[in-house]
Amino acid sequence: MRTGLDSRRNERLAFFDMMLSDERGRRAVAQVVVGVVVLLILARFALGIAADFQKQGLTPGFGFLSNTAGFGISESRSFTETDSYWQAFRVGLENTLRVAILGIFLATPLGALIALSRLSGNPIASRISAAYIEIFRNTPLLVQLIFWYQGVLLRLPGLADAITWSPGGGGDSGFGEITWLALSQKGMALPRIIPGDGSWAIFAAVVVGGVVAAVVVSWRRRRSATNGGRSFGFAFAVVAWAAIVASAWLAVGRGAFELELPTVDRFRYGGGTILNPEYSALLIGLVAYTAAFIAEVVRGGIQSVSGGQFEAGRAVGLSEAQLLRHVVLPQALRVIVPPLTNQYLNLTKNSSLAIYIGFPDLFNVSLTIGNQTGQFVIVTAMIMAVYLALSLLSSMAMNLYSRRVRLVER
Amino acid sequence: MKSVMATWSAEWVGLRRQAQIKGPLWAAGQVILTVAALWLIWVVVAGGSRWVLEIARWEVISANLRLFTVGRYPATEAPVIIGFALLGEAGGSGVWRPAAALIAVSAGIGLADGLGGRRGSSAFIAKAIGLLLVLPIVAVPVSVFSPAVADLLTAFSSGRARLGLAIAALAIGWLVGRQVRTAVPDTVLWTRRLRFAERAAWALGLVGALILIAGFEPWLEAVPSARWGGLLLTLILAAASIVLSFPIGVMLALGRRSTLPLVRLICVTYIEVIRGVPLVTVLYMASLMLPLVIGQEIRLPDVLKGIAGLTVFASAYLAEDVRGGLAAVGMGQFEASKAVGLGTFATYRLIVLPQAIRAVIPAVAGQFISLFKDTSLVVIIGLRELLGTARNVASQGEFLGLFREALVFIAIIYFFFSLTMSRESRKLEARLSAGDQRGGRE
Repeated sequence: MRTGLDSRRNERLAFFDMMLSDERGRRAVAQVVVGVVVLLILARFALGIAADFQKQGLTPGFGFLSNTAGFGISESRSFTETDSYWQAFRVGLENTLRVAILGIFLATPLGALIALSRLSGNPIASRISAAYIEIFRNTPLLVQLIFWYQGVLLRLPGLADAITWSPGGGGDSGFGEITWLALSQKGMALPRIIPGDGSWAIFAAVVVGGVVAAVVVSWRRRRSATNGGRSFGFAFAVVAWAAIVASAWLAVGRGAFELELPTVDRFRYGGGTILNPEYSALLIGLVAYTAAFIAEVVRGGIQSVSGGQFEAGRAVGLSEAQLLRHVVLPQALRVIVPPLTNQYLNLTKNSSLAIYIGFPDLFNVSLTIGNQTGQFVIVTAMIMAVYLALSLLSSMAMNLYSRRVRLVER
Repeated sequence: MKSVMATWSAEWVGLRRQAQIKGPLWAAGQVILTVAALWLIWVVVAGGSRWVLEIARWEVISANLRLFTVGRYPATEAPVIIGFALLGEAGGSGVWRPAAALIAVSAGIGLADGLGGRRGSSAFIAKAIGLLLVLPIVAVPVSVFSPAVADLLTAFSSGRARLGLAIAALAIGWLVGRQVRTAVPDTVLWTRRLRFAERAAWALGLVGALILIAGFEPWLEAVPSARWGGLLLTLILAAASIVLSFPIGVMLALGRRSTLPLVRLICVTYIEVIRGVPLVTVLYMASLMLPLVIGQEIRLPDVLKGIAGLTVFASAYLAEDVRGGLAAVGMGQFEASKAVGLGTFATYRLIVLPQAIRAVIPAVAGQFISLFKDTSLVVIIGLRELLGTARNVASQGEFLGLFREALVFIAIIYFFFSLTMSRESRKLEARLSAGDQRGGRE
């Protein structure tokens, strides 16, 4: 076909022809094109960043992190202005984890409760749950958060008129009124548990008790497997654990823990655990919002267990509790756990909305660092690395779990 | 009403039967649960209605209704006829262009739905506008309980001419569309043409609205995006990022399944990185890094930065949703389409993607709803959409500290839109699965 006069042109054409007619050649061309385009974009990005560094007279690297921060963080007692940026970043990370972990612990039971009430068969309770879910899922989390913060928590009475709960009369310590629980514009004050001299013994007893309980469970299981009859493993384990912890507590006596009650005067809280309004608003907002999503996840999981399973369980004479424990939950959890982890991850990521209400979480603190040093690129990379690490960890855990609970088909 | 009664009485019968089976302990539990639930309802309704009717100062909304709807969109001179229709005076000046945009969108969507022979989005728009038109009428009986709420409801009457025109445009568009649909012959060719016309009507409505809002020099004076605000801006942000992120998401999903290792690597990295980080960081990156990439000489409007951030974020999530749908399409479909001689592109466009996307409509709709709610996060780059407006309004000296009223008001707007979107998606899903079984004209 190609016997033209210009042989060089022919050669070139032949080369392209070869590249594009052959499947492997086509693939190679496609990859090279995509690679070059992406590289060009990245290069533009890198050049822009480099130019920005030069313009601002910054040196790339992590060295700036050991400089003195020069700003305070309201949420941390230990952090002071003379600490380094590195310390500030760490405090931000701690704050994020503090909100996320407590939030997960509170949102899970609340969500499960809402799901159960949705499925309770009680027309009123189930409609309340439905309304809760619709309202919290269909309005933006950020609007809710700001409402909790500016609309509720900052509208509480001032310290002078704080709402207090003091069973046993309270009394005055000289630093203000002693109370168990105080609620005001300045946040919530709760008693603080201070570990005493003997607290190590209690912790040790909790651990030892756990080991003993595990041994007891396996012993009861084996016994019931050989001798028949019910194992009561769980009941035995609880009794064993409680006995060990209680005896340790009795042995240590009053030195185990000390309870520090908060005090309230006109200007400040003293002692106790203080949850300031920013933290409380973030926590309440995240828990209320995530619980609505968790409720839907749990409901989906329970409904995924087919009705025949319930009937079969009852037919072989299981009690309602046994039915739930041995038939429904194992199957429902397989469906529930993956999306539930996703919700936990969402809660953690959503805690970055803290910046809108002034809570110093990872993102907020990092932004302050970026503003002060101009090292936005590195700071942003650090934030993204932390969140990515969290999401990778959880997806790894999820894969392990899915492998463990996978249906074994014969 | 009758069906509600039927549901309740059926539930009551069910409860009684369960009580017989499960014994008195269970019944006692249900009684306690019922009492607790009633108490909860009483507390919430009593406290809530007292706040809404007596304590809340709704004048912060009625006085700033314009800020909440269009932000600081300027009053511009209207052509004679349009000015007469929209503003009530020939050649007057006022905020007529967003209203004209609403009418354009309504006409486009009405026409599209009429051509497609369904009610879909038109019913939703008609309901929403109808509701706004009814509000001032409801104000009369409400004024007995609470003058403040009645004033708020009356405030909506200022837009009734424009809203009425929008409904009229919707209805006319729909009727025209249906007329055309019944007039054309029922052949494959004409079905395809109808489909094309349907999409064109949608696109025309949206593009027309965008031109009306943004302006088109020299015929229509440009209005800088910095002056867009309120619900208008929220809707623009949501619509733009939905329209942009969907095709990107589909491409990413296809890229993730590609057999080319480099393409796959790039897509996987993009999807996982974006899904791993919070939206705030992405928005923040968009506002900070975009100027570095496109060069700092070009000043990018904040609205575009917001749209870019939302699009980048949403496309990664959409890619994962679409991937789920692609996985659900069996290998046989690929083989069959190859057997009838379709190329790779045609296979995906005609055979695979339609099935894949249909399978994931609920997930995609959920993603769009999240995206709509997430537009509130753009406050961080200084945009005054609904939330930004609420914050702005509550810091005016006159209405200082009336943040709660503003937040509740915008929460109701978000709620209405999100709930309606999820209802519509459920209907769409039902319609498509029904179409599957019947194999109708759709």
